[in-house]
Amino acid sequence: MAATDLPFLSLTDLRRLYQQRALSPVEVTRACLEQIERLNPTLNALLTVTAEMALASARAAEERWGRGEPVPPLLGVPMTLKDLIDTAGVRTTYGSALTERHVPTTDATVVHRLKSAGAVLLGKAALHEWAFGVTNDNPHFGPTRNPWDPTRIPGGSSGGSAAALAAGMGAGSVGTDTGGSIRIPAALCGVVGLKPTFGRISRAGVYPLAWSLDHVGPMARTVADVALLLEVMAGPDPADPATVGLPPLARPALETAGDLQGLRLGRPEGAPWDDVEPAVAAAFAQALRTLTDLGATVQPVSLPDADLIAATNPLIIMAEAATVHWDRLRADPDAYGPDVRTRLEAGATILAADYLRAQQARRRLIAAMRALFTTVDLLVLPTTPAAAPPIGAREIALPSGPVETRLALTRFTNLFNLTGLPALSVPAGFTPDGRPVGLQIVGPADSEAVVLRVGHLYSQATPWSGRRPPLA
Amino acid sequence: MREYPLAPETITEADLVHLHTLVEWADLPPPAARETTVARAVLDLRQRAARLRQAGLRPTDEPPVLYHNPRL
Repeated sequence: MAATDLPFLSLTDLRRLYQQRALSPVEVTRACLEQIERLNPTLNALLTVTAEMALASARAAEERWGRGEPVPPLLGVPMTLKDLIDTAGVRTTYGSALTERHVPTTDATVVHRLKSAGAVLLGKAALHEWAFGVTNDNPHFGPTRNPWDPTRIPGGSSGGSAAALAAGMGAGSVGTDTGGSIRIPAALCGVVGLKPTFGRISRAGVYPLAWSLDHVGPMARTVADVALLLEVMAGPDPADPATVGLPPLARPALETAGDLQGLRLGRPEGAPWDDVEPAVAAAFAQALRTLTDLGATVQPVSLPDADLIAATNPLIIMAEAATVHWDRLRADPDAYGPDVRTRLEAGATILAADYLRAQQARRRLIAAMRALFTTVDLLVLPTTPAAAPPIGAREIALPSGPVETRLALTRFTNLFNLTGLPALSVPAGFTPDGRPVGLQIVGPADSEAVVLRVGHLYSQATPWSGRRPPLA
Repeated sequence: MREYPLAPETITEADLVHLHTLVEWADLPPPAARETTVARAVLDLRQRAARLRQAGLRPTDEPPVLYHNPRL
Protein backbone atom coordinates (compact mmCIF):
# COMPACT_ATOMS: atom_id res chain seq x y z
CA MET A 1 0.00 0.00 0.00
CA ALA A 2 1.35 3.44 -0.95
CA ALA A 3 2.06 5.83 1.92
CA THR A 4 -0.25 8.36 0.27
CA ASP A 5 -3.16 5.92 0.68
CA LEU A 6 -2.82 5.60 4.45
CA PRO A 7 -4.66 8.82 5.37
CA PHE A 8 -7.66 7.67 3.33
CA LEU A 9 -8.16 4.25 4.87
CA SER A 10 -11.52 3.83 6.50
CA LEU A 11 -11.80 3.39 10.22
CA THR A 12 -13.08 -0.14 9.62
CA ASP A 13 -10.08 -0.96 7.39
CA LEU A 14 -7.66 0.50 9.91
CA ARG A 15 -9.02 -1.73 12.64
CA ARG A 16 -8.69 -4.83 10.44
CA LEU A 17 -5.16 -3.97 9.33
CA TYR A 18 -4.05 -3.20 12.91
CA GLN A 19 -5.46 -6.55 13.99
CA GLN A 20 -3.51 -8.31 11.23
CA ARG A 21 -0.37 -6.35 12.24
CA ALA A 22 -0.24 -5.20 8.61
CA LEU A 23 -0.19 -1.58 9.69
CA SER A 24 0.66 0.32 12.85
CA PRO A 25 -1.18 3.22 14.48
CA VAL A 26 2.08 5.21 14.54
CA GLU A 27 2.54 4.78 10.79
CA VAL A 28 -1.03 5.92 10.09
CA THR A 29 -0.89 8.83 12.54
CA ARG A 30 2.37 10.04 10.96
CA ALA A 31 0.81 9.83 7.50
CA CYS A 32 -2.18 11.90 8.66
CA LEU A 33 0.09 14.48 10.32
CA GLU A 34 2.09 14.78 7.08
CA GLN A 35 -1.16 15.31 5.21
CA ILE A 36 -2.08 18.05 7.70
CA GLU A 37 1.31 19.70 7.32
CA ARG A 38 0.95 19.65 3.53
CA LEU A 39 -2.68 20.72 3.17
CA ASN A 40 -3.79 22.61 6.26
CA PRO A 41 -2.00 25.84 5.28
CA THR A 42 -4.27 25.90 2.20
CA LEU A 43 -7.49 24.52 3.66
CA ASN A 44 -7.43 25.91 7.22
CA ALA A 45 -9.42 22.87 8.33
CA LEU A 46 -7.73 22.56 11.73
CA LEU A 47 -7.21 25.39 14.20
CA THR A 48 -5.00 23.37 16.55
CA VAL A 49 -2.84 20.35 15.69
CA THR A 50 -1.94 18.06 18.59
CA ALA A 51 0.92 16.23 16.87
CA GLU A 52 2.94 15.23 19.94
CA MET A 53 -0.09 14.08 21.87
CA ALA A 54 -1.31 12.13 18.81
CA LEU A 55 2.01 10.33 18.37
CA ALA A 56 2.16 9.48 22.07
CA SER A 57 -1.38 8.04 21.91
CA ALA A 58 -0.51 6.16 18.71
CA ARG A 59 2.58 4.64 20.32
CA ALA A 60 0.53 3.53 23.33
CA ALA A 61 -2.08 2.05 20.98
CA GLU A 62 0.59 0.22 19.02
CA GLU A 63 1.96 -1.30 22.20
CA ARG A 64 -1.54 -2.36 23.24
CA TRP A 65 -2.30 -3.96 19.87
CA GLY A 66 0.98 -5.85 20.24
CA ARG A 67 -0.17 -7.49 23.47
CA GLY A 68 -2.81 -9.47 21.60
CA GLU A 69 -5.49 -8.71 24.18
CA PRO A 70 -9.05 -7.62 23.42
CA VAL A 71 -8.91 -3.95 22.46
CA PRO A 72 -11.45 -1.12 22.40
CA PRO A 73 -13.13 -0.36 19.05
CA LEU A 74 -11.16 2.73 18.00
CA LEU A 75 -7.71 1.80 19.29
CA GLY A 76 -5.16 3.78 17.26
CA VAL A 77 -7.70 5.46 14.97
CA PRO A 78 -6.73 9.09 14.21
CA MET A 79 -9.58 11.58 14.48
CA THR A 80 -10.37 15.29 14.71
CA LEU A 81 -12.98 17.11 16.79
CA LYS A 82 -14.92 20.27 16.04
CA ASP A 83 -13.42 23.05 18.13
CA LEU A 84 -16.73 23.60 19.93
CA ILE A 85 -16.05 20.47 21.98
CA ASP A 86 -14.05 20.72 25.20
CA THR A 87 -10.75 18.85 25.38
CA ALA A 88 -8.82 18.82 28.65
CA GLY A 89 -5.46 20.52 28.25
CA VAL A 90 -6.02 21.29 24.56
CA ARG A 91 -6.99 24.78 23.35
CA THR A 92 -10.70 25.00 22.51
CA THR A 93 -11.62 28.28 20.80
CA TYR A 94 -15.33 27.85 19.95
CA GLY A 95 -14.32 29.75 16.80
CA SER A 96 -14.16 33.05 18.68
CA ALA A 97 -11.45 35.61 19.41
CA LEU A 98 -12.91 35.91 22.91
CA THR A 99 -11.91 32.33 23.71
CA GLU A 100 -8.87 32.07 21.47
CA ARG A 101 -6.65 30.93 24.36
CA HIS A 102 -9.25 28.94 26.29
CA VAL A 103 -7.91 25.62 27.57
CA PRO A 104 -10.60 23.47 29.25
CA THR A 105 -9.71 21.43 32.28
CA THR A 106 -12.10 18.58 31.50
CA ASP A 107 -13.13 16.60 28.45
CA ALA A 108 -16.63 16.74 27.02
CA THR A 109 -18.50 13.48 27.62
CA VAL A 110 -18.17 12.57 23.96
CA VAL A 111 -14.40 13.10 24.08
CA HIS A 112 -14.15 10.91 27.16
CA ARG A 113 -16.02 8.17 25.32
CA LEU A 114 -13.83 8.42 22.23
CA LYS A 115 -10.61 8.41 24.26
CA SER A 116 -11.82 5.40 26.25
CA ALA A 117 -12.43 3.68 22.93
CA GLY A 118 -8.80 4.31 21.96
CA ALA A 119 -9.15 7.18 19.47
CA VAL A 120 -6.08 9.29 18.68
CA LEU A 121 -6.77 13.05 18.62
CA LEU A 122 -5.03 14.78 15.71
CA GLY A 123 -6.42 18.25 16.33
CA LYS A 124 -9.36 20.60 16.63
CA ALA A 125 -11.39 21.42 13.53
CA ALA A 126 -12.33 24.90 12.36
CA LEU A 127 -15.91 26.13 12.60
CA HIS A 128 -18.13 29.11 11.96
CA GLU A 129 -17.81 31.63 14.80
CA TRP A 130 -19.62 30.11 17.82
CA ALA A 131 -21.09 27.56 15.35
CA PHE A 132 -23.64 30.21 14.36
CA GLY A 133 -23.50 30.01 10.56
CA VAL A 134 -22.99 27.66 7.66
CA THR A 135 -20.08 29.11 5.67
CA ASN A 136 -17.06 28.63 8.01
CA ASP A 137 -15.91 32.05 6.82
CA ASN A 138 -14.56 32.90 10.25
CA PRO A 139 -13.52 36.53 10.86
CA HIS A 140 -11.03 35.57 13.57
CA PHE A 141 -9.31 32.49 12.12
CA GLY A 142 -9.92 32.95 8.39
CA PRO A 143 -12.09 30.92 6.03
CA THR A 144 -11.95 27.15 5.82
CA ARG A 145 -11.65 26.09 2.19
CA ASN A 146 -13.36 23.23 0.39
CA PRO A 147 -10.85 20.53 -0.63
CA TRP A 148 -12.76 20.00 -3.89
CA ASP A 149 -12.35 23.66 -4.83
CA PRO A 150 -10.46 25.93 -2.41
CA THR A 151 -12.23 29.01 -3.74
CA ARG A 152 -15.48 27.65 -2.26
CA ILE A 153 -16.85 27.14 1.23
CA PRO A 154 -16.85 23.69 2.85
CA GLY A 155 -20.23 24.45 4.45
CA GLY A 156 -20.58 24.74 8.19
CA SER A 157 -20.56 25.10 10.97
CA SER A 158 -18.65 21.79 11.19
CA GLY A 159 -16.79 22.76 8.01
CA GLY A 160 -13.31 22.01 9.37
CA SER A 161 -14.37 18.48 10.26
CA ALA A 162 -15.73 17.80 6.78
CA ALA A 163 -12.79 19.42 4.97
CA ALA A 164 -10.34 17.45 7.14
CA LEU A 165 -12.05 14.16 6.29
CA ALA A 166 -12.16 14.89 2.57
CA ALA A 167 -8.45 15.78 2.64
CA GLY A 168 -7.32 12.70 4.58
CA MET A 169 -6.67 14.40 7.90
CA GLY A 170 -8.06 11.58 10.04
CA ALA A 171 -10.55 8.76 9.59
CA GLY A 172 -13.35 10.30 11.61
CA SER A 173 -14.53 13.50 13.20
CA VAL A 174 -17.20 14.80 15.53
CA GLY A 175 -19.47 17.68 14.55
CA THR A 176 -22.44 19.50 15.98
CA ASP A 177 -25.71 20.29 14.22
CA THR A 178 -28.25 22.94 15.24
CA GLY A 179 -29.77 23.66 11.82
CA GLY A 180 -27.76 21.41 9.52
CA SER A 181 -24.16 21.96 10.64
CA ILE A 182 -23.08 18.32 10.29
CA ARG A 183 -25.05 17.44 7.17
CA ILE A 184 -24.39 20.59 5.14
CA PRO A 185 -20.57 20.38 5.26
CA ALA A 186 -20.74 16.60 4.81
CA ALA A 187 -22.71 17.17 1.59
CA LEU A 188 -20.54 20.02 0.31
CA CYS A 189 -17.28 18.13 0.99
CA GLY A 190 -18.39 14.67 -0.20
CA VAL A 191 -18.25 12.86 3.15
CA VAL A 192 -20.81 11.21 5.45
CA GLY A 193 -22.43 12.92 8.45
CA LEU A 194 -25.17 11.85 10.85
CA LYS A 195 -27.33 14.05 13.03
CA PRO A 196 -28.78 11.42 15.36
CA THR A 197 -32.08 11.59 17.22
CA PHE A 198 -32.18 14.39 19.80
CA GLY A 199 -30.62 13.14 23.03
CA ARG A 200 -28.81 10.18 21.49
CA ILE A 201 -25.35 11.69 22.13
CA SER A 202 -24.48 13.80 25.16
CA ARG A 203 -23.82 17.49 24.66
CA ALA A 204 -22.15 17.95 28.05
CA GLY A 205 -18.93 19.89 27.51
CA VAL A 206 -19.99 21.15 24.08
CA TYR A 207 -20.54 24.92 23.92
CA PRO A 208 -24.23 25.52 23.22
CA LEU A 209 -25.66 27.42 20.29
CA ALA A 210 -29.38 26.77 20.91
CA TRP A 211 -30.15 24.28 23.66
CA SER A 212 -33.33 22.83 22.26
CA LEU A 213 -31.91 22.34 18.75
CA ASP A 214 -28.28 21.29 19.38
CA HIS A 215 -27.14 17.79 18.43
CA VAL A 216 -23.68 16.14 18.45
CA GLY A 217 -22.94 13.60 15.73
CA PRO A 218 -20.31 11.51 13.93
CA MET A 219 -18.69 12.28 10.58
CA ALA A 220 -16.51 9.98 8.45
CA ARG A 221 -15.84 8.92 4.86
CA THR A 222 -18.10 5.86 4.94
CA VAL A 223 -21.50 5.04 6.45
CA ALA A 224 -20.04 2.00 8.24
CA ASP A 225 -17.51 4.25 9.98
CA VAL A 226 -20.23 6.68 11.04
CA ALA A 227 -22.18 3.74 12.48
CA LEU A 228 -19.16 2.59 14.48
CA LEU A 229 -18.52 6.10 15.82
CA LEU A 230 -22.18 6.47 16.77
CA GLU A 231 -22.03 3.28 18.79
CA VAL A 232 -19.04 4.61 20.73
CA MET A 233 -20.43 8.13 21.21
CA ALA A 234 -24.05 7.35 22.11
CA GLY A 235 -25.41 6.66 25.55
CA PRO A 236 -27.00 8.17 28.63
CA ASP A 237 -25.18 10.91 30.52
CA PRO A 238 -26.62 12.50 33.67
CA ALA A 239 -24.86 15.74 32.67
CA ASP A 240 -27.21 16.02 29.64
CA PRO A 241 -30.78 15.23 30.73
CA ALA A 242 -31.91 14.82 27.10
CA THR A 243 -29.89 11.60 26.94
CA VAL A 244 -31.55 9.85 29.87
CA GLY A 245 -34.33 7.28 29.52
CA LEU A 246 -33.94 6.59 25.81
CA PRO A 247 -34.49 3.18 24.25
CA PRO A 248 -31.18 1.37 23.62
CA LEU A 249 -29.40 2.15 20.36
CA ALA A 250 -30.02 -0.58 17.81
CA ARG A 251 -26.99 -1.77 15.83
CA PRO A 252 -27.49 -1.51 12.04
CA ALA A 253 -27.02 -4.73 10.07
CA LEU A 254 -24.23 -3.57 7.78
CA GLU A 255 -22.22 -6.78 7.54
CA THR A 256 -24.89 -8.65 5.62
CA ALA A 257 -25.61 -7.93 1.98
CA GLY A 258 -29.17 -7.13 1.11
CA ASP A 259 -31.59 -4.98 -0.74
CA LEU A 260 -34.34 -2.52 0.06
CA GLN A 261 -37.31 -4.72 -0.89
CA GLY A 262 -40.44 -3.53 0.89
CA LEU A 263 -38.96 -0.21 2.01
CA ARG A 264 -41.26 2.76 1.44
CA LEU A 265 -39.42 6.01 0.77
CA GLY A 266 -41.09 9.42 0.73
CA ARG A 267 -39.83 12.15 -1.59
CA PRO A 268 -41.02 15.66 -0.64
CA GLU A 269 -42.81 17.47 -3.44
CA GLY A 270 -43.78 21.07 -3.98
CA ALA A 271 -42.06 24.30 -2.94
CA PRO A 272 -39.43 24.72 -1.66
CA TRP A 273 -38.38 21.07 -1.87
CA ASP A 274 -38.11 21.04 -5.65
CA ASP A 275 -36.38 24.43 -5.83
CA VAL A 276 -32.87 23.07 -6.37
CA GLU A 277 -30.10 23.87 -8.83
CA PRO A 278 -30.18 21.62 -11.91
CA ALA A 279 -27.05 19.60 -11.06
CA VAL A 280 -28.47 18.76 -7.64
CA ALA A 281 -31.80 17.82 -9.21
CA ALA A 282 -30.01 15.48 -11.62
CA ALA A 283 -27.98 13.83 -8.83
CA PHE A 284 -31.11 13.40 -6.72
CA ALA A 285 -33.05 11.85 -9.61
CA GLN A 286 -30.19 9.40 -10.14
CA ALA A 287 -30.15 8.58 -6.41
CA LEU A 288 -33.87 7.80 -6.54
CA ARG A 289 -33.28 5.45 -9.48
CA THR A 290 -30.54 3.67 -7.52
CA LEU A 291 -32.78 3.29 -4.47
CA THR A 292 -35.57 1.95 -6.67
CA ASP A 293 -33.17 -0.48 -8.33
CA LEU A 294 -32.31 -1.71 -4.84
CA GLY A 295 -35.97 -2.56 -4.31
CA ALA A 296 -37.39 0.47 -2.50
CA THR A 297 -40.59 2.15 -3.60
CA VAL A 298 -40.57 5.94 -3.79
CA GLN A 299 -43.70 8.00 -3.41
CA PRO A 300 -44.25 11.76 -3.29
CA VAL A 301 -45.16 13.14 0.15
CA SER A 302 -46.11 16.53 1.51
CA LEU A 303 -43.96 17.95 4.28
CA PRO A 304 -45.27 20.50 6.80
CA ASP A 305 -45.95 24.02 5.57
CA ALA A 306 -42.59 25.53 4.56
CA ASP A 307 -43.65 28.98 5.79
CA LEU A 308 -44.32 27.53 9.23
CA ILE A 309 -40.84 25.96 9.30
CA ALA A 310 -39.25 29.18 8.04
CA ALA A 311 -41.00 31.21 10.75
CA THR A 312 -40.34 28.78 13.58
CA ASN A 313 -36.65 27.98 13.21
CA PRO A 314 -35.11 31.49 13.44
CA LEU A 315 -37.28 32.54 16.37
CA ILE A 316 -36.05 29.57 18.42
CA ILE A 317 -32.41 29.53 17.36
CA MET A 318 -31.94 33.30 17.61
CA ALA A 319 -33.70 33.68 20.97
CA GLU A 320 -31.76 30.81 22.51
CA ALA A 321 -28.42 31.92 21.01
CA ALA A 322 -28.98 35.50 22.18
CA THR A 323 -29.59 34.19 25.69
CA VAL A 324 -26.43 32.06 25.58
CA HIS A 325 -24.35 35.07 24.47
CA TRP A 326 -26.12 37.85 26.38
CA ASP A 327 -23.35 38.67 28.87
CA ARG A 328 -20.44 38.29 26.46
CA LEU A 329 -22.21 40.35 23.81
CA ARG A 330 -22.91 43.20 26.21
CA ALA A 331 -19.38 43.16 27.55
CA ASP A 332 -17.51 42.95 24.27
CA PRO A 333 -19.72 43.37 21.19
CA ASP A 334 -16.82 44.26 18.89
CA ALA A 335 -15.29 40.83 19.52
CA TYR A 336 -18.10 39.30 17.44
CA GLY A 337 -18.04 39.11 13.66
CA PRO A 338 -20.69 41.22 11.92
CA ASP A 339 -23.00 38.39 10.79
CA VAL A 340 -23.12 36.65 14.17
CA ARG A 341 -23.39 39.94 16.09
CA THR A 342 -26.32 41.11 14.00
CA ARG A 343 -28.24 37.88 14.54
CA LEU A 344 -27.54 37.85 18.28
CA GLU A 345 -28.61 41.49 18.72
CA ALA A 346 -31.78 40.88 16.75
CA GLY A 347 -32.42 37.69 18.68
CA ALA A 348 -32.28 39.65 21.93
CA THR A 349 -35.45 41.51 20.92
CA ILE A 350 -37.64 38.43 20.46
CA LEU A 351 -40.65 38.53 22.76
CA ALA A 352 -41.14 35.63 25.14
CA ALA A 353 -44.61 35.13 23.66
CA ASP A 354 -43.19 34.81 20.15
CA TYR A 355 -40.53 32.35 21.31
CA LEU A 356 -43.16 30.22 22.99
CA ARG A 357 -45.42 30.41 19.97
CA ALA A 358 -42.50 29.06 17.91
CA GLN A 359 -42.18 26.19 20.37
CA GLN A 360 -45.91 25.58 19.91
CA ALA A 361 -45.45 25.48 16.15
CA ARG A 362 -42.71 22.96 16.73
CA ARG A 363 -45.26 20.67 18.41
CA ARG A 364 -47.30 20.84 15.20
CA LEU A 365 -44.24 20.03 13.08
CA ILE A 366 -43.38 17.01 15.25
CA ALA A 367 -46.97 15.74 15.00
CA ALA A 368 -46.94 16.18 11.23
CA MET A 369 -43.71 14.21 10.88
CA ARG A 370 -45.01 11.45 13.13
CA ALA A 371 -48.12 11.16 10.93
CA LEU A 372 -45.95 11.14 7.80
CA PHE A 373 -43.93 8.20 9.10
CA THR A 374 -47.07 6.09 9.30
CA THR A 375 -47.26 6.24 5.50
CA VAL A 376 -43.56 5.88 4.61
CA ASP A 377 -40.57 4.33 6.37
CA LEU A 378 -38.01 6.99 5.53
CA LEU A 379 -37.74 10.31 3.78
CA VAL A 380 -35.15 11.08 1.09
CA LEU A 381 -34.26 14.53 -0.21
CA PRO A 382 -31.16 16.47 -1.27
CA THR A 383 -29.14 17.61 1.74
CA THR A 384 -28.79 21.08 0.27
CA PRO A 385 -30.51 22.73 -2.71
CA ALA A 386 -27.14 23.74 -4.14
CA ALA A 387 -23.52 22.58 -4.13
CA ALA A 388 -20.75 24.65 -2.50
CA PRO A 389 -20.91 28.38 -3.37
CA PRO A 390 -17.81 30.61 -3.59
CA ILE A 391 -16.36 31.98 -0.36
CA GLY A 392 -18.01 35.33 0.32
CA ALA A 393 -21.15 34.65 -1.75
CA ARG A 394 -24.07 36.30 0.03
CA GLU A 395 -26.69 34.59 -2.09
CA ILE A 396 -27.20 31.36 -3.99
CA ALA A 397 -29.07 31.38 -7.30
CA LEU A 398 -31.89 28.85 -7.16
CA PRO A 399 -34.45 28.36 -9.91
CA SER A 400 -36.94 30.53 -7.96
CA GLY A 401 -34.39 33.33 -7.63
CA PRO A 402 -31.50 34.33 -5.35
CA VAL A 403 -31.72 33.17 -1.73
CA GLU A 404 -29.44 34.27 1.13
CA THR A 405 -26.69 31.64 1.47
CA ARG A 406 -27.49 30.68 5.08
CA LEU A 407 -31.21 30.36 4.42
CA ALA A 408 -30.65 28.38 1.21
CA LEU A 409 -28.23 25.87 2.73
CA THR A 410 -30.30 25.20 5.87
CA ARG A 411 -33.61 24.99 4.02
CA PHE A 412 -33.68 21.18 3.75
CA THR A 413 -32.01 20.41 7.07
CA ASN A 414 -33.43 22.56 9.88
CA LEU A 415 -36.83 20.81 9.96
CA PHE A 416 -35.08 17.77 11.40
CA ASN A 417 -33.50 19.82 14.19
CA LEU A 418 -36.92 21.22 15.05
CA THR A 419 -38.35 17.71 15.12
CA GLY A 420 -35.26 16.00 16.57
CA LEU A 421 -35.31 13.22 13.97
CA PRO A 422 -32.24 11.27 12.78
CA ALA A 423 -30.88 12.50 9.43
CA LEU A 424 -27.90 11.19 7.48
CA SER A 425 -26.08 12.85 4.58
CA VAL A 426 -24.26 10.56 2.14
CA PRO A 427 -22.33 11.49 -1.03
CA ALA A 428 -24.63 11.32 -4.07
CA GLY A 429 -22.55 12.54 -6.99
CA PHE A 430 -20.95 15.66 -8.34
CA THR A 431 -21.90 18.74 -10.33
CA PRO A 432 -20.34 18.96 -13.82
CA ASP A 433 -17.64 21.26 -12.36
CA GLY A 434 -16.71 18.71 -9.68
CA ARG A 435 -18.55 19.87 -6.53
CA PRO A 436 -20.01 17.13 -4.30
CA VAL A 437 -23.77 16.72 -3.81
CA GLY A 438 -25.38 15.05 -0.77
CA LEU A 439 -28.40 12.80 -0.33
CA GLN A 440 -30.26 13.16 2.97
CA ILE A 441 -32.00 10.14 4.52
CA VAL A 442 -34.35 10.88 7.42
CA GLY A 443 -36.28 8.52 9.70
CA PRO A 444 -38.58 8.57 12.69
CA ALA A 445 -37.14 8.96 16.21
CA ASP A 446 -34.57 6.29 17.13
CA SER A 447 -34.46 4.79 13.63
CA GLU A 448 -30.69 5.27 13.19
CA ALA A 449 -30.18 1.57 12.43
CA VAL A 450 -32.54 1.72 9.44
CA VAL A 451 -31.27 5.09 8.22
CA LEU A 452 -27.67 3.84 8.37
CA ARG A 453 -28.46 0.55 6.65
CA VAL A 454 -30.17 2.33 3.76
CA GLY A 455 -27.30 4.81 3.53
CA HIS A 456 -24.81 1.95 3.56
CA LEU A 457 -26.56 -0.05 0.84
CA TYR A 458 -26.96 3.08 -1.27
CA SER A 459 -23.26 3.93 -0.86
CA GLN A 460 -22.25 0.36 -1.75
CA ALA A 461 -24.29 0.62 -4.95
CA THR A 462 -22.75 3.94 -6.05
CA PRO A 463 -19.18 5.15 -6.67
CA TRP A 464 -19.43 8.39 -4.67
CA SER A 465 -18.23 7.59 -1.14
CA GLY A 466 -14.51 7.74 -0.40
CA ARG A 467 -13.57 9.73 -3.54
CA ARG A 468 -10.49 11.90 -3.10
CA PRO A 469 -10.32 15.54 -4.15
CA PRO A 470 -7.54 16.27 -6.67
CA LEU A 471 -5.40 18.28 -4.25
CA ALA A 472 -5.40 15.50 -1.64
CA MET B 1 -48.96 50.79 16.60
CA ARG B 2 -48.10 49.04 13.37
CA GLU B 3 -49.71 45.69 12.66
CA TYR B 4 -47.31 42.93 11.60
CA PRO B 5 -46.61 41.38 9.17
CA LEU B 6 -45.93 44.57 7.28
CA ALA B 7 -46.42 44.62 3.54
CA PRO B 8 -42.89 45.19 2.15
CA GLU B 9 -43.94 48.29 0.20
CA THR B 10 -45.20 49.95 3.39
CA ILE B 11 -41.98 49.56 5.40
CA THR B 12 -40.56 52.99 6.19
CA GLU B 13 -37.42 54.44 7.70
CA ALA B 14 -39.49 55.15 10.82
CA ASP B 15 -40.20 51.42 11.15
CA LEU B 16 -36.50 50.66 11.07
CA VAL B 17 -35.72 53.38 13.59
CA HIS B 18 -38.41 51.98 15.87
CA LEU B 19 -37.03 48.48 15.52
CA HIS B 20 -33.56 49.75 16.27
CA THR B 21 -34.81 51.22 19.52
CA LEU B 22 -35.95 47.74 20.47
CA VAL B 23 -32.34 46.61 20.32
CA GLU B 24 -31.35 49.46 22.63
CA TRP B 25 -34.27 48.55 24.87
CA ALA B 26 -32.69 45.13 25.12
CA ASP B 27 -29.78 46.93 26.82
CA LEU B 28 -27.26 46.17 24.12
CA PRO B 29 -24.63 48.66 23.00
CA PRO B 30 -25.81 50.83 20.09
CA PRO B 31 -24.92 49.21 16.80
CA ALA B 32 -23.93 52.59 15.30
CA ALA B 33 -23.48 52.40 11.56
CA ARG B 34 -24.94 48.94 11.40
CA GLU B 35 -28.30 50.03 12.75
CA THR B 36 -30.07 49.43 9.47
CA THR B 37 -28.73 45.89 9.21
CA VAL B 38 -29.77 45.08 12.74
CA ALA B 39 -33.14 46.76 12.35
CA ARG B 40 -33.77 44.75 9.22
CA ALA B 41 -32.90 41.54 11.09
CA VAL B 42 -35.36 42.54 13.82
CA LEU B 43 -37.96 43.33 11.18
CA ASP B 44 -37.45 39.90 9.63
CA LEU B 45 -38.09 38.26 13.01
CA ARG B 46 -41.18 40.39 13.63
CA GLN B 47 -42.58 39.36 10.27
CA ARG B 48 -41.99 35.70 10.99
CA ALA B 49 -43.50 36.00 14.46
CA ALA B 50 -46.58 37.64 12.96
CA ARG B 51 -46.97 34.71 10.57
CA LEU B 52 -46.93 32.34 13.51
CA ARG B 53 -49.64 34.39 15.22
CA GLN B 54 -51.78 33.75 12.14
CA ALA B 55 -51.09 30.00 12.15
CA GLY B 56 -53.99 29.19 14.46
CA LEU B 57 -51.85 27.40 17.03
CA ARG B 58 -54.05 25.80 19.70
CA PRO B 59 -53.02 26.35 23.32
CA THR B 60 -54.51 23.10 24.60
CA ASP B 61 -53.61 20.65 21.83
CA GLU B 62 -50.33 22.30 20.87
CA PRO B 63 -48.45 23.26 24.03
CA PRO B 64 -44.90 24.52 23.53
CA VAL B 65 -42.06 22.04 23.30
CA LEU B 66 -40.24 23.03 26.46
CA TYR B 67 -38.53 19.75 27.17
CA HIS B 68 -37.89 18.33 23.76
CA ASN B 69 -38.39 14.59 23.36
CA PRO B 70 -39.28 13.50 19.84
CA ARG B 71 -40.41 10.12 21.13
CA LEU B 72 -43.38 11.55 23.03
